[in-house]
Amino acid sequence: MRKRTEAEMERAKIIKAGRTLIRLKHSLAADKEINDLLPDAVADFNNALANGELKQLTTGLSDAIGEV
Amino acid sequence: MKLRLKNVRPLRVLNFDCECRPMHWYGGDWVSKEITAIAWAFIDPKRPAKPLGEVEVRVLRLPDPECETLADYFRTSGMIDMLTDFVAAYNEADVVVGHFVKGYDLSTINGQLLEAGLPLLSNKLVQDTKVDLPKLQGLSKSQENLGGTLGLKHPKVGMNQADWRVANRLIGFGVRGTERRVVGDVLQNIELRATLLARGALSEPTPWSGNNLPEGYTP
Repeated sequence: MRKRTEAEMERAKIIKAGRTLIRLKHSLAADKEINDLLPDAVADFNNALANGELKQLTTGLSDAIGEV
Repeated sequence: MKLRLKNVRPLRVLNFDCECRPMHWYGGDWVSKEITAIAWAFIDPKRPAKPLGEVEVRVLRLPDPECETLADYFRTSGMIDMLTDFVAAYNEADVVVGHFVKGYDLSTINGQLLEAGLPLLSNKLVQDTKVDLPKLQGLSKSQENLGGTLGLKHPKVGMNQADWRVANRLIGFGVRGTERRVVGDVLQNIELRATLLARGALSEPTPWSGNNLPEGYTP
């Protein structure tokens, strides 16, 4: 196995750290959105369940990322 | 983005109650039990304080005195019919409801099914009008007292010691007393559930499994 040069290591570091930081940024934003939305949706489901009604999620993939 | 939910269907909600008689002492005042009556009714999804049709009730009867086996006893006393009819309704239900059923009735019925040689209860969503109340202190959580506190129309059908001693001898007028009591408990509990839900004082049903090991030792 060939050892990489210092420049190759720095370039790999940029790629790996960059990808990780961008994913972390979106992951943290997702945590906030999940916390904003999910408890209300689950409470809505549980309240219906307590009252003898079954509910179903209608939001789908296209609502999240558009038509694919 | 919004998480949208839509109603799919009303759930089949079964309300039930059972009564028992003591069988033998196994330490101090602890006794083993035998079920003497089960009553049940599906709840009307459009009128949640009402049963959907009549309350079904099955009671234990005096068995054939010539029974040679326990199987004969369970058959001739009506125990097998009582349990199988209840379990058929239980299996139809999406949710079962009752007062302290998570702590008493479901496991008592499971014990009776085991003794009678019948299949045990399947897993079910259960809503308990005692266990699933919010945290409360300074008030009794008995069905009778909650009924009084909330001003329910259906009264608790009272049974004193003499009434229970007659009822548990399985003689005609005693058995009729048990029937009135267990049916009354179902009707009162249906109204209790509806009232608690309207007051925002009852949690959603949670899974019950008869296969769970007990949390503590019980002799």
